[in-house]
Amino acid sequence: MNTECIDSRNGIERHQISLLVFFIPLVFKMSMLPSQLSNVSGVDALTAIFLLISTEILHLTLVYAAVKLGGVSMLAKRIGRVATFIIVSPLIFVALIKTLVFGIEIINYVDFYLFYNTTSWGIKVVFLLTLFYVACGGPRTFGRLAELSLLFLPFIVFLGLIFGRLELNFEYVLPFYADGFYPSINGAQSFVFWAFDFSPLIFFKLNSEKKPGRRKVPFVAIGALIVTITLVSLYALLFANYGLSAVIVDNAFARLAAFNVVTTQVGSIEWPSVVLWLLSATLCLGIKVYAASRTMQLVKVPPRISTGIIMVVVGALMFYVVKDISVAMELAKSWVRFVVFGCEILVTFVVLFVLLWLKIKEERRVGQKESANEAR
Amino acid sequence: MIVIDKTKKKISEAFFGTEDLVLRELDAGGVRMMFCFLDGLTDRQQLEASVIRPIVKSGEGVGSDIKSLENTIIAEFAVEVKNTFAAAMSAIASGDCLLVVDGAADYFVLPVKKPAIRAVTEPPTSSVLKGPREGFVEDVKTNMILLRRRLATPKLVFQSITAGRLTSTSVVLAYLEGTVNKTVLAEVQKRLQSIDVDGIVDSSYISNYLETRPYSIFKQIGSQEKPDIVVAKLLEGRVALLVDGSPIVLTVPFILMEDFQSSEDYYNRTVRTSMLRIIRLMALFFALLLPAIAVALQQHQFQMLPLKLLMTIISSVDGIPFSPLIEMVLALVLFEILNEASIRMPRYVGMAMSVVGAIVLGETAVKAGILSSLSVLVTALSAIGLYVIPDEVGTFGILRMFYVLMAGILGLYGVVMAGLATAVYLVNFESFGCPYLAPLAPIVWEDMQDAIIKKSQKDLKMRPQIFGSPNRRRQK
Repeated sequence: MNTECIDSRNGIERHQISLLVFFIPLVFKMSMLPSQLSNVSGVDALTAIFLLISTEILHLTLVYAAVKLGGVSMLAKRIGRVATFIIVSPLIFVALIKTLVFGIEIINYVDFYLFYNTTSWGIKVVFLLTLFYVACGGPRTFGRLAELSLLFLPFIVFLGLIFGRLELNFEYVLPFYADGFYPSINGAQSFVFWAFDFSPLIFFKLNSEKKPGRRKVPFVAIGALIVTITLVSLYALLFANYGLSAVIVDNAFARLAAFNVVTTQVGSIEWPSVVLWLLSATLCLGIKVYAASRTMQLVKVPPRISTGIIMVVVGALMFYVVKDISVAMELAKSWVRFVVFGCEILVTFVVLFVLLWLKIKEERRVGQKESANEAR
Repeated sequence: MIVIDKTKKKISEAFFGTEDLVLRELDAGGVRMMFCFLDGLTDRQQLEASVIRPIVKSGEGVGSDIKSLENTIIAEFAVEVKNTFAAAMSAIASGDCLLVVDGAADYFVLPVKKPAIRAVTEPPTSSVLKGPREGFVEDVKTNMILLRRRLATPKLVFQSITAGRLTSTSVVLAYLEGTVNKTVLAEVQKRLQSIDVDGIVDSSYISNYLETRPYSIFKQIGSQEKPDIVVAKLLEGRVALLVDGSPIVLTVPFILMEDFQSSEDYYNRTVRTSMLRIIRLMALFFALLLPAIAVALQQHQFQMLPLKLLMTIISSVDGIPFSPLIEMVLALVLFEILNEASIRMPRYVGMAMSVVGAIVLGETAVKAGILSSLSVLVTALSAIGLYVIPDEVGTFGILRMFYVLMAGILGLYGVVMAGLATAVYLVNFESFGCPYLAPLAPIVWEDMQDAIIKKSQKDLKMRPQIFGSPNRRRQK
């Protein structure tokens, strides 16, 4: 059993990271958040989501810088496992809370909107088992699943173009920044829990370039730009289409992907988008659980056992404490959101700072050695 | 020094007095010699004309060394020398004739095998409308010729090893020097060398030893019956394995996308090929998901169906004593039984079997109210879809059942989660270092030109990237 904190064979390509950069901020912001945000910020929900995604992209630059410097594996190598564990251990708490809330969001959508005559406990058990399996896969699995999800997208866009009947009214979203600064910032800070999900990426190991001489494509920057534009555009489309009734949209992704125009003929056409959303949502939570499991591995807990422990804890909380979406939403909007936000930002900052410090120290050491050699 | 009388007794004992062992003694000008072979396996006419007659005619007698023997007999073949008794016995067992000369230091092997060879015909599992109709046969030598005829280059290399302690089966590795991925080749050689079993009866035995996940439902080794397909794979930089006694040639590495391609894809118009590949993917959807979706919609998510369709379904299932899950499982199991019976059954009763299966069982079951017409229709559609990808019938048959069970327990959510679990399993699956779902996951853009949408042969300038050939360019 591999107990290394990063499995060296289980790396990820840069273009795969860029796909994760696309899916991670998109998935849970395109489910219940639009309705919640619309409820709090009204017409300024669009500005609020722009604020959220912009700051999240800033966070991504820190995370990616840390990944490029070697991430957690380099940190563990240089300062030791226990010290690294102390630095990144808050991510276990973050993973637990976010998996719990977002997990309940998935289950709620499945249980109450999608298949309301399926047993709730069955949905929870199967969700937890699948999540366990996904999380055990590691970065290679995440990267390839993201690629599979990407292949779904043209199909969904095609269906949307064929069947979608958009009746857009941009008066619902215009003018931007209508009520000044307060509603936007209020919306953004109220739902900060739905942002800053990139920190688990610091556990990823980038595969070395196969053709070193080649000009590098800035995949991650492109991914970040595309997700920002996509997210804001999808929100604009949603609000322009639904107007104030956006507050009752159960899952924005599924509602936007198809407009149920063929429901009366052969059934609901939103299915491919529901499948994609479920796949991406499980993938994003899998990444969080993976990060928590790798953190526990720093103190020599084998990966499958640590993943199992996390799943058992999340499962217990799901079954006995945070049983439904209202409790989960309360939790996500309470002071806990600032703790989670703080943990994500702080861990990223500290990891990056220590890695930079180590790099400068190493460069100095090499420089001194070279000058000593020259002096000789 | 070999003594004939003693050796004769030893050979008889070594073969436990089997009746088909022929021991024929001859006195050639004062030199005693003995021909030993297994009746039926040796070409007696060739032995008589090329060996025995020249020896008898030479009159002066033959020396007991190889040079003298080769000078006497008609040199149509090279005489092999075996210096141990065990090696000499293996030669007899493999169908060669052993020549024992009194007073000689070694045994002489005359390669006069006469294997029963089937004619080269079109394989029943890979018939085509357009393209070559040759298929491999059980004789490994003939199969090597079939490949060599299509690849007239010294770069085509055959490497032979013997596997199976009792069967001494010849396993031949074929690859193109300069094109093959050396890492894969070395790995195949390593895994072949590690085989230590009493018998290799068919190439599927070998594939079990080459696989890293023998209990997976997904195969990791490709199998082909047509030389044109194997040549195409060798040209991509892959390794082929020919096993004596088997008309199935193995190829590695294997990727799932291969089974969605047919040899005819390369002989048809490009647009038609791309369309057919999309249809095969749709057939996969029918085969895998249709029964599961039917169960989920009937048992859990009936509210998702439009009212008219729902009413049609309700009227068709009215009076059926089983739940949709049990009914579908029953229909699928019945199909599997029929399928198994039709494969095993002698051909002349096959027609009767299809009548019994399709009309008697299907229609009667519906009339008797045991199965609904919907479940029979769904099973039939799924079966047709399954046979569009004939090489994956076994794998997808099992997956289909798994999805049906998940649909029965958790409805469409169960199907989606089962699909996700399958995707996770497959993205981690590899065959000799090649990702199983390539070029889709990981996305290999360069290899997409011959994945679902196929480019014209003229534009396929490079060999697939995932097989790691050191010589990627096929044409300028």
